[in-house]
Formats: sequence, C-alpha cells, structure tokens
Amino acid sequence: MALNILIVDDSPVMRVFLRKVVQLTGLPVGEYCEAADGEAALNVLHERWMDLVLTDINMPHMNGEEFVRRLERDEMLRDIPVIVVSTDSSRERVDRLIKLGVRGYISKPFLPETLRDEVEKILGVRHV
Amino acid sequence: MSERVLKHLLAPALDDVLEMMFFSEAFGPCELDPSADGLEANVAFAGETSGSVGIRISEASARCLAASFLGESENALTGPQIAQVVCELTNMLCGCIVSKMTPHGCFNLDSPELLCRQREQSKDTSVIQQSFAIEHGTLTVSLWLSASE
Amino acid sequence: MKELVIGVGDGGVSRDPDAMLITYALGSCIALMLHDPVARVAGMVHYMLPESPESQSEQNARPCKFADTAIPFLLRAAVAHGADKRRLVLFAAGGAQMMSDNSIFNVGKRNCLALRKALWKFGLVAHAEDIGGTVVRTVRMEVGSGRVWLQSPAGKRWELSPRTQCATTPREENPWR
Repeated sequence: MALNILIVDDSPVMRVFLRKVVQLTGLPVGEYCEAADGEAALNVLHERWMDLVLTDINMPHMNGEEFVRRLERDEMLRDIPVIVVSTDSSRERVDRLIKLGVRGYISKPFLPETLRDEVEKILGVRHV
Repeated sequence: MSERVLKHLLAPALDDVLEMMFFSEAFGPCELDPSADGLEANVAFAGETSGSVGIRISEASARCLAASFLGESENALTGPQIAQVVCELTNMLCGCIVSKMTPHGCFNLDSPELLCRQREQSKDTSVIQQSFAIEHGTLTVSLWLSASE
Repeated sequence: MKELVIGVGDGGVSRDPDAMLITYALGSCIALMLHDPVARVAGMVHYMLPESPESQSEQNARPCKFADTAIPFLLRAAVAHGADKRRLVLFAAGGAQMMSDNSIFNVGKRNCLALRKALWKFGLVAHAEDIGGTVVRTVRMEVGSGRVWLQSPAGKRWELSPRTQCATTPREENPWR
C-alpha cells in the first residue's frame, strides 16, 4: 500500500533534499505533501491522512515544537509518526519533543543514510 | 569563551556541514578578500547566547554547492534555487556553530536572510571572521555575538 | 570461480554467476560495486580521481578514471545488462589517505566525497562502505550472490555487508581528522 509523507520545512530546497532521502528507502510513496510552517502542516493533516511527518523546528508562524504539541493534543493526529530534522539538538529540546511523542530526531547536518535508516526503522521496513 | 576559541569553532562546523550535506570540503583558511563578489546570507540566533552568523560565498562556489545539494547539474539551476541553498547552508552552519558554542543550551534561529546588496567589509571589531578556500572560490564565515556576551 | 580483474581506472559488468570481480591495491582510489539480486547483475569500477577534465576527448578516453564519469558509466552499463536502478545494492571501498600524499588535497577524501556527490545525483547512496583510513584494500565481489570481501596487505579478510557496521563510517569515526 502506498504511503503518504508530509515534509514540513520553511526552506524549499531542504524539502527537496528530504524528499530525495525518503526516496532512498525505496518505499512506495503515493503522495508527498509539503508545508512551510506548522500551521500549514496542520491544515494539510486536517485534509488528508499522512503515514509519516518530517518536520523542522525553526520555522515562522508556527514552529515545529508548537506543531508537535498541537498534534499530541489532537486525538485524530497524535498517532502519526513524526521525525524531527533540525539544527537544534540540545538535550533539553530533544527531551521535550520525545515527551510529546516524537519518534525520531535527526540533527542537521546529517548523512542522507542516517535519515533513511531512521525512516525505515520508524515505518518498520528495510530496503536492503 | 575567548575570540580565539570561537574562531576555532568555525572550521569544524563548516567541515561538518560541507561534507555531510554538500559532499564537499573546505581546503583550509585563506586571506580575507574585501573586494570578493558573491552571495551573502545571515541567520540570527537567540538563546543562552545571542547574535548572528553570516556567510559570503563566491558565485561559482555557490552554484557548485547548490548542484551537489540538490543532485542536479550546475547549468540546470536557477538563481532562486542557488540563493535558497545558500540560505540553507547559512542556517545549518549557524546551528552547528551555536551547538558547538553552547552544547547544552537550547536556541532558536530566525529565518535566513539573503542580503541583496553587497555590504562593505565589516569594520565591526567585535565580529569573528574567517575565510576558507572551497571549490571554485571562497567562503567567509562571520560570527557576531550580542554585546552582553 | 572465474576471476574478472578490474584494473586501475577501469570498470566492468557481468551476469556470469560463476564469476568474481576483483580489483587490487585500492589506496586513495575507490571501488564502487553494485549488485541487482533479481537480475543477478554485478558491476565494479575502480576510479582514481574525483573530477574529469573539461576536455570531452579525455573524458571519453578513460571514463572510469574519474568519479563523475565512472559512476554514470557503471550505472548505465548495469542497466544495459538488465539491472533495475531501484533494486541495486551498492558497496564502496577505498579512499585511504596514503603516506605519499603530502598535499592538502587529500585525494582519498576527495574521492570519497566525489562518490557521494555522483551517487546523490542519481538519488542513491551506498548501502555499505569501507572507506578512509590508511589501509590499502583488495576487493572481491561474487557476481551470483553479490557478496563482497575485503582484504588487507597483511592478509586479514572481512565481509562488507549492508547489515553490519563498516570498519570506518564517516559519521562515527572521521578517518581524515
């Protein structure tokens, strides 16, 4: 069954990079959706189901931490797996996000295969 | 943290970012060239320490790095794409430098700002600056810390 | 098992299940290997330098000498032999820093970065790597099974597998610092 992936980052080129990394997994992706901030991402999630969300933290309008907090409070959305991909890897931030239910945390810069492996681990598949 | 120590954070941060996400490298420090043209971007940060990180990068180098990042040919890229990649490079470099400066502290980054007008070489003596030779040109990293630091 | 030797600056593809691709004495050079487990196609290229010169004739004369021409060459050859890019399992070995390389341009490291850059253009990364360090490596790949073994000059042998930790990985242990 094809998966739907939501990529949330205010940088259009970073969204391209993240999409290429997900493609490394070889997973059947039905739809890639994109959003430039947490608010736009919530709008997408209220319209269609996503199997995985990759999100940045530092974004305008609504940052990634607030976005994750809103997901956690929403019964319909809280079980969607979220991987944070961010420049901030402070213990404090990571702990807060894990408590909010984030399943994975990748610190920028990262090797593409690091995120690929994290996506595979969280979705319970392995390409090789 | 002394200026000397801070300056020594710049090279490893740049190495990490260039190698992992741009499949490229810095060849070592080089002389600052005040007349060098290129693209400039800046990212402000706030947290345990506040300030901003800026880069100035040769146009040919920016095009080369953008092609690497996006996995495209250099001549297939548009100006806006290259500019966006320079912004993302600055964003990641800022995050990397700030993480090294304050490894246990939380911080927030503003959105990267592409500078449309070439600034005069900074006469601000509080700036910590280093130029590096990279593929097809140079990249200058500047770190400003707010006055209370 | 039939041995097909890939020389320095050379590359090749095979569908012979009884064959083994071998390349010797990988110093700063890199061997990129690929295997399609369904089509049973295997290929190997042994390149020396990261970037080809601008001259088209020089690129055409020795495409496998340079990362940016060798890798597309190998991928095209594999597909021409029936491989599917989406099924490919990729291995890389080499890129050592040699004692004789005193320049600031560490050729081994540049070759490793060129590998990643060229693969990324095709939306690929290696599934297993044994790169960097200072050891000269010899590499063998079984065409039928896709299994890869490395050997050091001292005779130590080990298998390179996508499911095991590599000897040196760029993230955990930077071999050039």
